[in-house]
Amino acid sequence: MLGVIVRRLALLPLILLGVATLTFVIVAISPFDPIRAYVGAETPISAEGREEIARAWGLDQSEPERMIRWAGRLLQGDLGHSTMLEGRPVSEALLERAGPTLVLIGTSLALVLVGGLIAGVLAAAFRDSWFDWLVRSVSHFNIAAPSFWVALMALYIFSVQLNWLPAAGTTDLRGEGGTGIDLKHLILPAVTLAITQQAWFTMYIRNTLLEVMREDYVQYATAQGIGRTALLLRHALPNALIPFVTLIGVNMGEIIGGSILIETVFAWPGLGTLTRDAALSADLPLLIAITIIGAFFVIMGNLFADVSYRVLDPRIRETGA
Amino acid sequence: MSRHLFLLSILAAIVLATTAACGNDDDGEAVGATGDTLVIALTSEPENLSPIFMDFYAGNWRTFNGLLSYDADLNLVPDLAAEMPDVSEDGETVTVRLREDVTFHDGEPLTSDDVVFTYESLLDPDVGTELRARFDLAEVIEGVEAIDEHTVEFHLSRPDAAFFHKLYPGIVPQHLLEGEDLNTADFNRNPVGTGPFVFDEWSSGERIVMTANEDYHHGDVGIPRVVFTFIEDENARVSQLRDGTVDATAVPPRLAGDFRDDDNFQVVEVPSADARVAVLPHDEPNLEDPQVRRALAMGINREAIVDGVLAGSGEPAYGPYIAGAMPPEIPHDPDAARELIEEAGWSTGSDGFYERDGERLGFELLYPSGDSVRRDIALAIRSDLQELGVDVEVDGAGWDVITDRFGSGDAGNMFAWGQPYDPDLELYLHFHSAFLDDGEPFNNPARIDDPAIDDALDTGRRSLDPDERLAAYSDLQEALQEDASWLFGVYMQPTIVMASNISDVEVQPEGHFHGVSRGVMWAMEDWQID
Amino acid sequence: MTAPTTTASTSGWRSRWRWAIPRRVPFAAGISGSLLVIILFIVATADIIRPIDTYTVDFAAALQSPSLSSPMGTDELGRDIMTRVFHGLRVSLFVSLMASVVALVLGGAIGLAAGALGGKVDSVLMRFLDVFASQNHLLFGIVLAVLFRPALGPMGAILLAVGLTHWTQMARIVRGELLSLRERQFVGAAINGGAGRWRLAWRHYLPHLLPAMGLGFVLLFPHAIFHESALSFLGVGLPPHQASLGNLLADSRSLILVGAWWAALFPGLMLLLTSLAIGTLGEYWRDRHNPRWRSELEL
Repeated sequence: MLGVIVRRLALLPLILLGVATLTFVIVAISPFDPIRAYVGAETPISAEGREEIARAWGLDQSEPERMIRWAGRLLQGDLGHSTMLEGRPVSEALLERAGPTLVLIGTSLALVLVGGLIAGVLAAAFRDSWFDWLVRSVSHFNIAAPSFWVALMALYIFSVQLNWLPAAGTTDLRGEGGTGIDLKHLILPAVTLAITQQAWFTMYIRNTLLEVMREDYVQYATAQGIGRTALLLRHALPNALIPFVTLIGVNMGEIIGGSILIETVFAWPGLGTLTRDAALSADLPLLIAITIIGAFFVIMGNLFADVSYRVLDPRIRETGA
Repeated sequence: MSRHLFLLSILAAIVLATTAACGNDDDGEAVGATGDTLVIALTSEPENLSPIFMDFYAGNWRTFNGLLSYDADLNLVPDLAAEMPDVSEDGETVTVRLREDVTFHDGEPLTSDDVVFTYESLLDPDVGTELRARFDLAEVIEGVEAIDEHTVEFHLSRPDAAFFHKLYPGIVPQHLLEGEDLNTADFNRNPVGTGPFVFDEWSSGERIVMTANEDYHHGDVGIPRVVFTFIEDENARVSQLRDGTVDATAVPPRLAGDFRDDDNFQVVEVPSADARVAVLPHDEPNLEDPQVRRALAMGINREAIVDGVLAGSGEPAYGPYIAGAMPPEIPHDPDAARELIEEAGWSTGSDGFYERDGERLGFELLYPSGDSVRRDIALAIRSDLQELGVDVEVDGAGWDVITDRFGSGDAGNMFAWGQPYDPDLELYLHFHSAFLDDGEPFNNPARIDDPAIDDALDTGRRSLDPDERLAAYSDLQEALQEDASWLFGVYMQPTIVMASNISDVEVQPEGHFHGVSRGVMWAMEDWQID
Repeated sequence: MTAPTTTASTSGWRSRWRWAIPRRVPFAAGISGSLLVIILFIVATADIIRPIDTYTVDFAAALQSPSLSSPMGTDELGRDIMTRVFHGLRVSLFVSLMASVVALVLGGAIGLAAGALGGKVDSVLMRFLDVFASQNHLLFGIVLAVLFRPALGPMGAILLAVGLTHWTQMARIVRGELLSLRERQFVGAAINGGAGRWRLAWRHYLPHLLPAMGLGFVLLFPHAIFHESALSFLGVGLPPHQASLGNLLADSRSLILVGAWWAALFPGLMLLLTSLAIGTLGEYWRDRHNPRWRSELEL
């Protein structure tokens, strides 16, 4: 058990190194001109200006040299400097934007957990009823519907038409003390992100419970006259968090991707909008850092899923390493 | 690890996330500026508030004043100077007398030493300011000298018609900056100036807060507290305006329409020199004949573009914006345009497009893919010229591709440019043949090589006589229409939507680049909240 | 565990593909199939049923709500949205199809090489795959699109961005199938008969892998559609004047603020229906074919 975790953890730096190398190689072989992208717009630059910029950004060195220096800095936690933000350290920009994204993702995961539990248990309890059918259809729909479109339609209905909820930003800006994130601004982005992530958990709960129901002791209990729903609840609630954690890990990539698109629609000032802005202004240092961090979270998510699965599921603990 | 502990920690994390989310839940619903705070959404966050690093077109933050500043009609007027500066007979000595009642926000009085320090910093090659190059400061200024506590003398290397513009940069306090590395000084994000608004706080990525300066040397400041926030996304700015989070912001003209009918808002249009121009590809054999290019200029329905793409917030453009020397109007006349094209030897082919020797009359027009207004204008020009029988292929691209293809002359580009200050600030670079072979695509991008144009530009640059300059620039306008390799389309009029209870808003003409002290905000200290 | 091709030993096209032709088609699959036929019809005949130039500007007709002459309304430049949706659907489907092909070829080749050559090659290729698989699809796609747009053009950059982020699943499927095939006897016989490894892969494995690859391809397709439109929506995909579903949705962001809901509803609905139809058919095919793949194909 511990051995598995240690082995996976030992592989982690190797995979991360691979990810970093891959990213660097792709940047190196692409014909992209970072200097022009930096200067942007209709701005004339002279040959000397070009050289000066190249020197300032270390683009005048050979590629292997740059790779080594870049990797060295990366190991020290220096992610480089953003071109879009006029040379601000990338790590500073990332930290600044991480808060709103964590709140957004955290809230929608809480919604996924609660909503998925309720819908999944009820769908399993009333298998093949109209409710089950509804839950399954909605889940199917949510998997196929592009998240940014769901967000756009929600924005139109609740913000433009009904004028119930604000469509952009995180907070009221007038406040005297610091600003934060208020609930009203959070509802639309968090709910739409939850909607697009809801399906995997709801369907998991439903299908697991249906399997459980086939087991002998359930059949026996039912025969004893214990209500089906009560039984499902008793079984489902304590065990729901296990697959939830596992599934968060497995779906980490989807969650990150979803938050980029949803943040864009609602102008949520988190890492997602930062990513989009960086992409639009071709800010490579920032983009590369975000990609590597994204990969890190995907890898950690998988590892976490694996570990939580082993820690929490006694059956695996017995048979596993 | 115990299983329960694990579950508990996850639960705790979720609860924490939700409570953090609910932490700041107050109702600020009412639309319109409330109480004494005004929220203004800018399109991007500054990196630096120091006027040393100011972008001339953006202007000084309202925390600072320059020696001179611009009035509503862009005339230069005294600001920190007590009166307009004296220029010596030979034009090489400029004497500025300072007001004696000005203090910095920390209470220290403003003296001529601060002025000398500011200009010496601007001249210092180690200080990374764009103003040095834009104003040719190093070449023009030979020395700055404090004559007494309130008098400063500038010694120039040559007479300079545009020198008063160079007295606009904000003055910084020597006592706070002496001996510091200006490029990285804490001052840049924590400034102290003389202006109507006192810097209060800056939370990165979120807002900059300023409060009214009680002792402002030009009198009372109307707004007690201003919050600047930064929203790049135009749709988000509109949403925030509508839900009352923001009181004033720039809105794309098409989206401004709704606010015109809404009593809670007022729409302010800023007169602007900001032109949208289709610069034709210089290496396109189809377009070598100026007569054909002039025909294209007649084929564009500029009024329709102003109404359709800009929702009326714009003006037709027939040449660069030069106050006092505006270009003559070009009529929209497709029939006359067709005649010109046919005269030049083109005839209509079977597909409805003009042909000559089996070659179809047309060109490719690029626009920067992030700019929806330029895209729409390009598409409108395409439709107009298609009606004429000219095939325009429109394509969106990033700057690197545009630089490449436009630079090599095989595609045109939707250019955005213009400024209402001194004409010489930009025209020379755009039209003079001196830049024909410098290899830089955005210097003289149409590769114009016309002695009449060069003459006009040279006179405009050298002459100190305002009338002679204007006459030269009038000649320039005509020569440019004759050449017609820049297809001028429209001048934009930025639309600013603000809460209707903000009054006493006055506008100042602005250019392609906007800023916190240009356009609508140049005299923000005079606004009142009713 | 059922092997993918139970009738593999018999020859002939019909018997090999028999599993793909169902006896009784369930309701959802039937609907999806019909939908797909309609979509393909629209894509094939877009020029005939909505033969309007998708760029031509007509300010007089700007921002009209859905009507008989323009059933999906018009946009801010007076262009008919139905025309743009149909042509956009065609563009999006074409780009996604090509991107899936890139992923199929890349993943197929690497999976085949890993499975057929085994040993060191296999483990090196699999680590390589791990590295690619740990990239977030959308993030890595954005970086690729930004980097390669100048050189390959917007279309080429998207193909690369979607292809390079989606080949890993295909490679896993192919390799997995190959390993299970290798355990089977007729392959052992061929090895004893002295067939070379590549020849073996080509002659004996590939035909048996085709159904699996085809299924992987179909299940990949909706993802490719989504990623194409997401990249365009974020502004790093196709040039914004070109009608594609992602671009139409990006444009609709400002249009819904002035109440033009139709600008967002119809392109999104088309995107949804297309991926729903293809996805449902793919899943139905998979369930019939080999339920074991459920986990491997969660793309």
